Amino acid sequence: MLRLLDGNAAASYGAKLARTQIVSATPITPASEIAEHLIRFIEAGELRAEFVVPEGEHSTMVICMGASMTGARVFTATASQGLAYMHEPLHFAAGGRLPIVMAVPNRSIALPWCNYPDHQIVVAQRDTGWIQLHCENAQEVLDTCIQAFRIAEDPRVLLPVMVCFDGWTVSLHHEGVDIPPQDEVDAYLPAYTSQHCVLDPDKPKTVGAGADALLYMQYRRQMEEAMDAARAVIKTTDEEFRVRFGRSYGGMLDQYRCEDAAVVLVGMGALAEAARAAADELRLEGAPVGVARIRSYRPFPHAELRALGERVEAIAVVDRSSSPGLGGPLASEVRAVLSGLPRSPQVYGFVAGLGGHEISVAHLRKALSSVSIATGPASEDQWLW
Amino acid sequence: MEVTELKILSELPKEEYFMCGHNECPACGAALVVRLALKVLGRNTIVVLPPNAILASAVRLSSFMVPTASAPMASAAALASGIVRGRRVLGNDRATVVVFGGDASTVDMGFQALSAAAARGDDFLYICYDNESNVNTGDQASSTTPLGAVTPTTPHGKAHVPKDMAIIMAEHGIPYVATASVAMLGDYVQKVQKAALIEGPKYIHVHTVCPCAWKIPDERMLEVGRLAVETRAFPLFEVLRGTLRLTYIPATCLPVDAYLGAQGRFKEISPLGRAKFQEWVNDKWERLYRRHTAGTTSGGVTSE
Repeated sequence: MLRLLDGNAAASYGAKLARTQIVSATPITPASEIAEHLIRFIEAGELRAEFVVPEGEHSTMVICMGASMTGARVFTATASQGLAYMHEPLHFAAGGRLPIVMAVPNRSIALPWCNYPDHQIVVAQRDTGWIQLHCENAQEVLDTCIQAFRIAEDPRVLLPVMVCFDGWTVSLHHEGVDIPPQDEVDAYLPAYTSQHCVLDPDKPKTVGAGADALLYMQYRRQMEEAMDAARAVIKTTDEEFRVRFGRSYGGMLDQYRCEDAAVVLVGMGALAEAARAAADELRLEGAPVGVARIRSYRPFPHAELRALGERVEAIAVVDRSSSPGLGGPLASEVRAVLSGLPRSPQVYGFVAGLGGHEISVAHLRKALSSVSIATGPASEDQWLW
Repeated sequence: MEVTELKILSELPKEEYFMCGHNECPACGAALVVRLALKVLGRNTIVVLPPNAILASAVRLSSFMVPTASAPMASAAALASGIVRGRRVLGNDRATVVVFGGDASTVDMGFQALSAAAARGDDFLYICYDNESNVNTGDQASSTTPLGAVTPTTPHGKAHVPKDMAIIMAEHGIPYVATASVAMLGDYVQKVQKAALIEGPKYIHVHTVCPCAWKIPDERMLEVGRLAVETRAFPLFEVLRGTLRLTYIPATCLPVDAYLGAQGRFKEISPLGRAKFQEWVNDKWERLYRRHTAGTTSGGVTSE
């Protein structure tokens, strides 16, 4: 069924089709509507779930953790300041291996106050142990929310998943979105049965015991292994989604015209659409360029980027965040995974689109062109505005 | 109005759900608070623990015979809410979800989450064992550290009166709030029993002597706790559906000096400080007594 939906509504349809059982979310721009849509579904009897009203995002995540510890399927949403406030329990949820799914419409972080999209605060959650999938439009948001539960609940993974998409640009932008039939989603995503973490008086368990150094190392190592296992799970989940629903998003790294490209633009989120338009224009002018959109920021697409790096001459990484004192975090990570290749391409970093600052086709053409004709190594990341 | 302590205590089940082997100090009031509450609540209980001494001691081991979940310091009550609501949506039978939080994770960092969980009306029991400082990190002051008490963070003695958490919780309009003392176990056990039968948010604030932080010999733990009650420094009351009732009225009112003088943490307190402490005790008792008698005359004082 095709409906005109914005990204927030798409996320709530995804959570509804996934038969979420507990929803809790604190209102925050631009994520507030996600919970409101879900409450309407609950009130209309279309979703058998409870909404728990929290007072702040720290408690929101902890409510989600408690519900997940009973074996319920749990969904939440937040953004920006709320995500920052939630930082401590994000570590708890991942360390507790609780398969919570959270929609995150990306928004900048204060100070100064700014409501508009960038990746500053979501990138800052990279070390929490959450899987981060970045979507570029409302359809991908809906589909990825369904995929996210399958990934999170896979016994090889058991990690929480953030479904990120740019605030406003995607969260409040209406587009035609296909809503898959419930029975098809049920067949794709079976009911969740928690085996590893259930608070049940008949089978008493300690959830979140203390650990000595060795035990702590073992648990953290298991999280790394789960992230590694998630790479394959993310790919097969997306591929099986294509088989059933006819749509897929490139698994870990969504590549466009990269097969014969000499220069590739790497970025995350909605800027990919403008980047593809820029690549098309440059192709018409004879420049062999492509676009690789990082869909899975955690786990990071090591293998895909290395395979790409082995055959291209230059990579332009466009960051929608900056790590003051370093430069673009995405650019530094791309450089890190490409180091040690027999023939590493030059990696040029660009910082753009902070606080919702426009990223136009012209900006991205400029980025792609400047590296096409580059002669020397990249010194420091350039600001593109 | 003497509580019939031994009769009640002897009727407690023999089963233990908080076993020996925990790493608490020999005269730890908190261990007693947890052990007796779980005897009352029984096996169909889920325990939520914010960071505290009981949790910190549990490396690879647990003394709990019921399921336990650890929460961040700031949001133990939120974890309890999530567990209660998750179990309900899955159609599981009612289990008692109980939080054991120290004062720092209840009246300070966890206050916001507890207040919200109470305002949400979720069905859980929160037991705060108030040892009047952050004992797990070295006895630093909390919002319930009393006036004049010397701690590492109040080297000249606490300058302000403690937060009155039980009254604050009662003002949330929740069905049951009580204070209790580790030195008056019969009264405490009765209150836990009463709370367990009520649906909705319940809060019990237990004055819990910490011999280490309060600088008293282990063997005087219960005696000092009793002195707090007898001097009215820590009054015992309950607020059942809005009606306050003092559950113990000392026959003779001892001056607070008897309580303060027994503890090393008050050794710096000046005569003026003692007078201020006594004044705070008197004011508080007067307010509570007025509500107590008002409740009595209106016929609102009942037990369940």
